Amino acid sequence: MAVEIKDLSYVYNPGSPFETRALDNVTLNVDDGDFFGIIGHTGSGKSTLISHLNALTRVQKKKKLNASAVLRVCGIDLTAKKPDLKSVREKVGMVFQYPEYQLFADTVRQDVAFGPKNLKLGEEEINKRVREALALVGLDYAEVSERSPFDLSGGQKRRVAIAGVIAMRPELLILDEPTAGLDPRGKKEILALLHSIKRTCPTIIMVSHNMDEVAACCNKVAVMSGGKIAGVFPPKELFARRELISSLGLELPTVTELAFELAESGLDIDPSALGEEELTEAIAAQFRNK
Amino acid sequence: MDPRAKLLITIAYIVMLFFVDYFVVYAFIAVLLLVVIFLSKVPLHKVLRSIKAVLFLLIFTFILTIVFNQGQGEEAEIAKFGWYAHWGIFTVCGSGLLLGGKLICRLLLLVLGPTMLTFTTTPVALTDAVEYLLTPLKWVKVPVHAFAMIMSIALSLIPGLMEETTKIMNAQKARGASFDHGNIFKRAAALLPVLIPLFVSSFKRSDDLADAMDSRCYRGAKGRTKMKVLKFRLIDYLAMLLTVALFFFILMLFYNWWGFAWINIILVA
Repeated sequence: MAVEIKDLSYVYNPGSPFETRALDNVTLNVDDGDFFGIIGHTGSGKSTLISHLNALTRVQKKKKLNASAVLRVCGIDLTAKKPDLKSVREKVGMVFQYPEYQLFADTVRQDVAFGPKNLKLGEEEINKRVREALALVGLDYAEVSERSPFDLSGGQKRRVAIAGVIAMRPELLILDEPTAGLDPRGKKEILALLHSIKRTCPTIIMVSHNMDEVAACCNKVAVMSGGKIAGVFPPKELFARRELISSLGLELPTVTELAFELAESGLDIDPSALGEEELTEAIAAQFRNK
Repeated sequence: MDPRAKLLITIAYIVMLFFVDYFVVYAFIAVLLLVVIFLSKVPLHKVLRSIKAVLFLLIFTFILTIVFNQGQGEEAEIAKFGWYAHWGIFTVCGSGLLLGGKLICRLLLLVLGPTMLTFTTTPVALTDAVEYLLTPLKWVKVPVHAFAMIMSIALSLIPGLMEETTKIMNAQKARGASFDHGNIFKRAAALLPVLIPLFVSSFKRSDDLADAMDSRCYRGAKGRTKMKVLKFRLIDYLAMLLTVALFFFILMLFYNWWGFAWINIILVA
């Protein structure tokens, strides 16, 4: 199991008037090979949860808080007092929101090499990984490797930043809103890229509040609300629960929304159908039968 | 109160402290300060917390003064206090202790006074006051308004910058960087991947801010009116008058221009 969480809580500003419970007895399992989605409204605890996964946020231990909590990521117990941070960071790759703000080096090659260098790999291995990572994110090594990352376009910068994480060859890749702030085309490209990354990186967790993305990529989706997990569903099943989604203030994927409305107006189709093609096929079938 | 009055009073207060040489007067000022703290409704423990930052300095200066002050020489000291102790270059004597005590009083009051100013005044109000008080410099073509603007922008951007720093540090940590290992040079080098993105985003942010100001027709001080016009009220005049009186009183104690006998009586007591 890639991630095993049980009864994990986290409190911000404990003991002060600003005390807020960001995580409330979260229990969650992510299997090896999952493309796991986490959705939820702003402030539902998504970011706090994922920053636990590579030990940027440590498990709080105070009085009764987290006394029986379990947090095991890629076989490493993070509730321990001194977990092996180095191997956690090696196994868990984390792409933050707007990752292009982390770029710093003179050239794209050096920037992507930053992670592998921190792993103390040999020169040759580093070069190999940089080439491989840049190819995976769809950038041409010969064209970009010696350019300054600050000269690239927004979408390209983001790819370089993602490449910088992939180059560490994590077992588990976590992405926080990887498409935020991109235009529709850039979004599509990043999503397509995730599919190709999935082939090399066994397990991916993606945080998003865009349902269309979650529907397109994930095989399981956890819904978070008020620091709790409201449920874990395969996307198809989740989108059939229209009430749950709207009660959490989230939006259905556009396709599903359309399907629901068509079904309500009398068309005999399954509203939880995913994807444009599936839906058009279902509609076409309806009319063929008539 | 008007921030200008507060600023002026604080400056007068600081200058005043350097003319005080007696514990009685320190105590008097401390009482006045307590009254101010009480009136301002700032919790006392919050004010006292500001001492923490200078605690080391306080102790350090105290010890240095005691140890290196040789007073008026051995015989005079023994005649005055009855004891005198020295080991090599180190000397502990009555005058030294007194001087150290006075220094501590002065430093404490020096820290606490301005703390009250910052606790009760927003940075924006403070910059407004600075701008107003520096008006004379405008006559010699110093861009006072621009300086005040720079100051207030810088102050308001600090929290955002802190947040940005944590974010970038986390991102680099996730890529295996470590900021708490190795010697000082290694640590400094490890900060580079944080500083560069920070600079880049700061430049970008300042560009955005400049655009935003331009699009709201900002053109410096020329013809700019204020939403909140600073106005001296009765209480401000009163407070400033009191301060002037106190200042005068302390100067009188210090120089005793007219040779009043009662001053000596107070000070000996």
